Amino acid sequence: MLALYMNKPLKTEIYTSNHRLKSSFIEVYNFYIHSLLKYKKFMWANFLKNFKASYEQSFLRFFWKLTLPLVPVGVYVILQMIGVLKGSTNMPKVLYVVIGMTFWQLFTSSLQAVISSPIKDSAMLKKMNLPFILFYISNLGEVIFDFLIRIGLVVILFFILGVDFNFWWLALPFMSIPFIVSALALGIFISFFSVFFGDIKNIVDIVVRYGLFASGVIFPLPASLSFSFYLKLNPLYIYIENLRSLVVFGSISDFGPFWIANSVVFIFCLFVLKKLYSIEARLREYL
Amino acid sequence: MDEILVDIKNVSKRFSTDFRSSAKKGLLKAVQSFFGLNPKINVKSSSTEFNALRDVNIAVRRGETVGLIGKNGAGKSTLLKHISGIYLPDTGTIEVKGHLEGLIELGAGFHPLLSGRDNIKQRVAMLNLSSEESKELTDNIIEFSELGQFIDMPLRNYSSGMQARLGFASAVLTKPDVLLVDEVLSVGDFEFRQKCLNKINEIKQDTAILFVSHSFQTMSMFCERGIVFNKGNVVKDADIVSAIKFYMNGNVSDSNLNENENTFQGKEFLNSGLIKNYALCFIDELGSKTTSYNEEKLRLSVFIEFYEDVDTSSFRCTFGIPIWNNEGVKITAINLDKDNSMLKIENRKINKIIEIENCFNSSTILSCFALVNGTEYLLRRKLPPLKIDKYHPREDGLVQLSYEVKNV
Repeated sequence: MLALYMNKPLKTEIYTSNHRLKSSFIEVYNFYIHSLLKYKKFMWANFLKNFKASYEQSFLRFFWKLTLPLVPVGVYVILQMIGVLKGSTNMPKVLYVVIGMTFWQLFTSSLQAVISSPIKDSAMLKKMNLPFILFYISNLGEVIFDFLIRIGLVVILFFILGVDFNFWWLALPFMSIPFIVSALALGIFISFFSVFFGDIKNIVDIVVRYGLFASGVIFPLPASLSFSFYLKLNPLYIYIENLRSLVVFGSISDFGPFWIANSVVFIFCLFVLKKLYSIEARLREYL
Repeated sequence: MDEILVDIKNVSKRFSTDFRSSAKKGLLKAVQSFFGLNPKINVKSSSTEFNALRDVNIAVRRGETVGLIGKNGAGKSTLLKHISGIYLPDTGTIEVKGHLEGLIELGAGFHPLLSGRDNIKQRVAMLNLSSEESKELTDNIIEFSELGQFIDMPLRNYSSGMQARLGFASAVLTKPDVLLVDEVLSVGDFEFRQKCLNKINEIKQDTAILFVSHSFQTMSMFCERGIVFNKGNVVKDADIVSAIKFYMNGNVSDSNLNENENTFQGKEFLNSGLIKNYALCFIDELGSKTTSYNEEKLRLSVFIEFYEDVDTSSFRCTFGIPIWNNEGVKITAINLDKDNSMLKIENRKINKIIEIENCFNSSTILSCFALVNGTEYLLRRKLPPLKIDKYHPREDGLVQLSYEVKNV
């Protein structure tokens, strides 16, 4: 019985103070791919745990799950509709705000979920020699659920406003990946420090609140401002502008910067994952 | 069978008791790791740090079962966490060969929301077996755990005993090359514990086992080798009987012992207005002072002298001797008061030898002597620690009761 695996050659693990510091890129990414495949059930269970825990003591669970993701969007829709927010848009203002907020929230909520993940899951991380990436990714589950609810609102608005659905709607899941990947990479990077300093999470919260106004989410960036050129270098502005135009008009306005931003994000993500591989054992000790 | 599966060389680890200093050092190490530098470089020690492990060298071979012995905080569990890769050493190397399973903490390695069955599947999936092998192994684990209908219940609803069953079955039936067991079995029920220990006996020929337990009886049954830890140092690495004897004889953590004495032995007291002189000591058969016994009786010599102007004729003196083991567990107390007999004072002096049956198992015992007049304390003094040196491999618990078997 079980003779096959018993005869396999013994794998040797060596732990030193410089464990994993000299690992090659292939070794690192191979490790991530294998870990994600091996622990998919574990990640799913961790997502369910977080999902259920957030509404555990509530009577109107389903109601809150559907409405709470729409609250931040609703506030800015009202502000835009009553004319508090200035700026002319080339599409219905409601649609402009809802699409902008949907992608903005996808990025910022993902970022915040990833940053808080090591502390939130510290009880499990301290007990098990499991890769941190499992916890980072399972924490994104709830954010993606909220994103889908908001996308539902966009679909409803398309019907109400009589806007045609174009071919690019089919590619929406793939086009959303850069948001998630950039939030994951940046979140992992920041979490290296937030494990040691709780203040960092608060600083990120502040930056996220004010970053909304510098990313063309709820109103177009005014061209008259002297620093608006620099604001347009903001990768989030590039993403949101292009995805909004893709969803509504079926075309990307700034094709070059969009793909440059994508490439930068993926390279940054590979870099951060490599660093996470060598640093996670150190983080675990101080959770 | 000579193959070394766990090879620990010069391993040291320092932790800090101060949160700020710990975070500062942790951040520095993380930054050094981030830039690919060895984290031991330029990390200065601070006064709040202590050695969790210091220059530990241990090699464990296949077929060897090693008991790790020591007080709480001696470094046993920290070592197991290093072997399982949860902590990295500050210096030194740990080499682990083969499939490792660790029963380090209850519920470790399992997800609280997954059912017992899904947790097992998750665990089995990590072994990269064929689907047929995986199914067979999963079924065997479920059967061994005897969890019945509870196997499909989420783990968070399991009792600690049920978690121990699941953990043990999953760890042992996957036929690990290296098995770490840290006191997890103590929460299981008796029958299951016996079943687990039998299973360990079955697999021990092919496995390197590191076993932490405070039950020396279990250890002496299963381990051939014992390693005694004291404040992160290996102070004894020998056969299990010698290692237990070394530990029981109080050869470790004398400073901790003194700290404990002050908490559970209570406060000392002397009514200096009444008592002029006193002397309390344990003596051997020949009347010489001793702190170590292998004889049938312990003898406490008590001498108390009252001042000349004290009228002792109305005194109703009794005494009490509470006895603890070196971890603060009260073993018994001898109270003359309970016998309702008074301690006789002659010429304002008490001069007695109190003989106590030496029914204690090998250990260091701590005690107090208290002299009371009615309800008033006259004297309360801690007695020196006594080493009971009569280890027998079959001894169990704190005391050894005499018994007779009679034919009916």
